[in-house]
Amino acid sequence: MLRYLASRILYTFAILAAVSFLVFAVTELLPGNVATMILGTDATPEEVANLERLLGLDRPSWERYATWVSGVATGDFGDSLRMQRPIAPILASRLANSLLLTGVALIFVILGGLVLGTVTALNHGTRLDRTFSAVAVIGTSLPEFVTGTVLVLLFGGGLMRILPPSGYEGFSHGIWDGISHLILPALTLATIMAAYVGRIMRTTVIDVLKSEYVRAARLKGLPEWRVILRHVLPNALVPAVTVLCMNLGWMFGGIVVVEEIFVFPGIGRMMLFGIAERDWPVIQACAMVIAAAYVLGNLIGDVLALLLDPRLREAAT
Amino acid sequence: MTIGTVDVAGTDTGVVPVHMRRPLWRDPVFVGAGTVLLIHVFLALLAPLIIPYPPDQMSFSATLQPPSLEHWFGTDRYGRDLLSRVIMGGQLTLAFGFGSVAMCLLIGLPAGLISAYYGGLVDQVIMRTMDILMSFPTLLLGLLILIIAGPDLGNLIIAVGIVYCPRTTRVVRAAALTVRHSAFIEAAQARGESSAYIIVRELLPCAWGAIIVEICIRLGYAILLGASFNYLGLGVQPPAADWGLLVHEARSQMLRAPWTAIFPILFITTLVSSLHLLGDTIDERLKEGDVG
Repeated sequence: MLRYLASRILYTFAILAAVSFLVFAVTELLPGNVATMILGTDATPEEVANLERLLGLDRPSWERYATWVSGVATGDFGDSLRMQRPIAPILASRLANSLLLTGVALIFVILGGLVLGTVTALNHGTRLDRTFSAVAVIGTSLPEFVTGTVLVLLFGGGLMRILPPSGYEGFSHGIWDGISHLILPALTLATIMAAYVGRIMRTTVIDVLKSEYVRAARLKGLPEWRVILRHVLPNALVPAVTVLCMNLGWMFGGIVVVEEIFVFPGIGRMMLFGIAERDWPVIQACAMVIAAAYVLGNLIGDVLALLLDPRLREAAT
Repeated sequence: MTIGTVDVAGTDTGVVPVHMRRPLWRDPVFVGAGTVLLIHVFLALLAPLIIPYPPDQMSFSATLQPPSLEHWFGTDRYGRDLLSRVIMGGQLTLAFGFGSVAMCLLIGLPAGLISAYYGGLVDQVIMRTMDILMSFPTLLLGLLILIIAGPDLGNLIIAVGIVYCPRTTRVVRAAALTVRHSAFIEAAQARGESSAYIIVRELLPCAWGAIIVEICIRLGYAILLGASFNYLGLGVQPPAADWGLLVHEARSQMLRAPWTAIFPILFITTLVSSLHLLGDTIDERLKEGDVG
């Protein structure tokens, strides 16, 4: 178990190193001279050369890569070309927003996926069950930009205006204001995972309902709600939670589109800003942080899954 | 990403439900999804013949018209006919969908088969490379490729193809591995057949079933990812528009003119759902060893 953990952590670091290399390589390959891009095409060659020296662009790539990686390791992402400010503080607040959004989405996934899966399994074979199964297939085939647009059309001002479609500004205007701005983006981010977790939950609950120990509990004369709460759910939760954990990082990956739809001030939109403005330090920083969050999320997910399911633990050692 | 490989229904009951014993072409889900897919393909193929207006023709006297007999799907903010734009968008959407899957197969088929056939170091090198590609969130990896390559249709196909090729490789490799040590492979080796012959003539045919399921499912995901890039403005460039870009164009006025968003959404949802349902249905059949 410990050896598995150690090798898994080591592996994560190796992946992070590879990711940092790829991210840096990408910005090296950006078309066009960066200095010319900043100064405009009518800059003199001397001005361009001066700026290149200032930005350190005249040094060899490997040297700049080393500087960049050691900076990143200590939380220094350099300065934004466009905003002329250090990236790290902006990145930190944007990342906090994105993590909050993902956290709320996770709550929706747990509520939606687990509850729907259980309810449909208990009504296995009925019309309710078939409807949910069909909706779940459609739910997993919707991209975020479709879910988000449909949600805005339904609740964000189209059919009814219950929730604001954009303009999250933190909790400075009160708690409800903050929460209300989080609901639609979080729902969008949660839909695919909730449908997926719901499908798994449904399958396992149906399996557990057929097991010997559930029959024994029923024969013992326990009321049905007790059978379900004490015997079915605890056993059925493990696979669903395991899958959920393993997809923690995946949820964070969907954040770019969701933030764009709802004009949410998170790390995904910061990255899109970087792309639009050709601000390569911003692109590097955002790509690195999103990829790192994804890799770390997967690591946490794997470890949590191990802790939850003893069978996996044995297989891992 | 593990999403997309789970069975929809049926596998949890232990006994084979009645509807699955019917031949495939009488399975209502298969027929329904197949029909929807065929309609989409026909609309895309016949697009230039059936659209009522040129898709880029603007008319400033008829902007944001609701659906009417003249404009079935209404018009957008430049007065362009939405029905024409949605149908032409289908052509683009299917083009990058099929293009990306072809790209996936181009990389994934040889990589997966070679990995399974040779095993050992070759297998390790190929699969660890794929692992690194898969350690990026799909959207981020595609974004990075599109940043380098620049936004256009060809690069979009390449980006989506590279993002998804590790998954195709895994599927092909897993399918080939199930027969890798069978007697008929050993027989072919004993006959002195070349490795290339064995891979193409012995391994590949055994993997076809899994490959067909993979094509259906991957096509759905490729279309979703490609459309998401277009939504972000990093793929196809205006005035051409796939369904992702159409939804993006609808953004600023969709509360006043919801039809500009609803129709492209309807089209992409039906197309992708039908692909996923087809993939799931065929997959269940394959697991029972009965493709009718």
